[in-house]
Amino acid sequence: MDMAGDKKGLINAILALECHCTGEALPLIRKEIAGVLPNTQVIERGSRAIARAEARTKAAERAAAAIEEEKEARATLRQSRERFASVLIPVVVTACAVWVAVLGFTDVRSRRDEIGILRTLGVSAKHVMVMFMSRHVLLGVLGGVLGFVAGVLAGGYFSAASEGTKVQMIGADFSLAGLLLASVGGAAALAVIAGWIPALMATRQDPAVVLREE
Amino acid sequence: MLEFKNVGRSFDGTQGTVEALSNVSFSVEPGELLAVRGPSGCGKTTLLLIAGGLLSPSSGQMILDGRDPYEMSPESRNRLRAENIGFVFQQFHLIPYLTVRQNIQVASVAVPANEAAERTQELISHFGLDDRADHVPAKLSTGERQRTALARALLNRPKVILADEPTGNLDEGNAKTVLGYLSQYVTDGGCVLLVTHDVRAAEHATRTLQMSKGRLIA
Repeated sequence: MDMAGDKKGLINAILALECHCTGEALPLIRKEIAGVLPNTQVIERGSRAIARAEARTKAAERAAAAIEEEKEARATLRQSRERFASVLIPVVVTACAVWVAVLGFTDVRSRRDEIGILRTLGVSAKHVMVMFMSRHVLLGVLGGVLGFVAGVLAGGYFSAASEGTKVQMIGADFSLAGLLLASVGGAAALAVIAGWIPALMATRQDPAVVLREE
Repeated sequence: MLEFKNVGRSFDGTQGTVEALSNVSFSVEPGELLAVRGPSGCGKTTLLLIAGGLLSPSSGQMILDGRDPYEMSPESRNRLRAENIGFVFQQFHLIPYLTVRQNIQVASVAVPANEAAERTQELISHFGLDDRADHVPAKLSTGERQRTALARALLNRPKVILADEPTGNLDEGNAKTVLGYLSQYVTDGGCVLLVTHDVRAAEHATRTLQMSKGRLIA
């Protein structure tokens, strides 16, 4: 530009090639050129390039905004899932415990005769307790394993559909082995707690009552 | 072996107190098959439950092998029952999902583990159940069920067998077989208290007592 000032009357046009100026930068360029070459007319020749550059900028902005929106949406979805899970999990666990207890009571009722005869034959209350509790623990362990398999398969399916293939437990980071242990241990513990009262009832079954009803 | 001393038992019901047994006294010794006969509801089963250490008397005392089971803790009474008594019931009371062999072994509480299997096989052969040993009760005839129950009652080599209408569900042939086994057990030095209203059963008894309305009348 400084050189151009010395060539007054010799230069009638300057082409700016390969210049990626966008529309917003043009007034600044005009101002700078007017400072060096007063009365020079700055003509915008590559308008298509400018339009493309503007479109690129706007597209980049829209993409960034869309990514932000998606992030926010996912964060909101995750929060709502966590809230739902925090309500659902205690309800499901309680329902399972009640169901195990109901099964236990039904079991004791349907096996009154058997308990009566075992007690008559001298089988101790402790042995009857162990008999019933071991059944509950076995059912709990089986339930835990089945629940783990079903949970991992369902988690894998839904996370593949929405968030990639990583299986995650909400609110905690568990390895699959840890999750298996937690599922089996938790289910067995739940079965023991829920089965305790029915098993206690079984030990208190009076054999004389069963035999008198014959 | 088994002695009732002025035993009485009453139950509180919605229509007041019912006297199921009143002032009952008798004893049964080894080598004796005592039949207690009487109509339904006369207190026979109550008498048997008291003899088995399963129902405490309201009054009087029951002595089994020189001891009063009702002065013992429940677990000691269980042990006494497991070691000294065999039970035979009209309804057999076999455990439906166990095989004949397992049903017999259920009574092995007081039998050392190494003896139980051998003794079970011995009883299976004795009662002609070899080809039925691995069958569940639903696959057995009523006679086979009662023989299984009898084998179970004998597993612990009891000092006394308490039998509640053991022939009540059996035809004549099977009833005769079961009573024959009980007689043999008595001949071998055992002691049986049999409560029944079946005349056939009473015919095998060495002594018969008659019961009516909770009292011994003869």
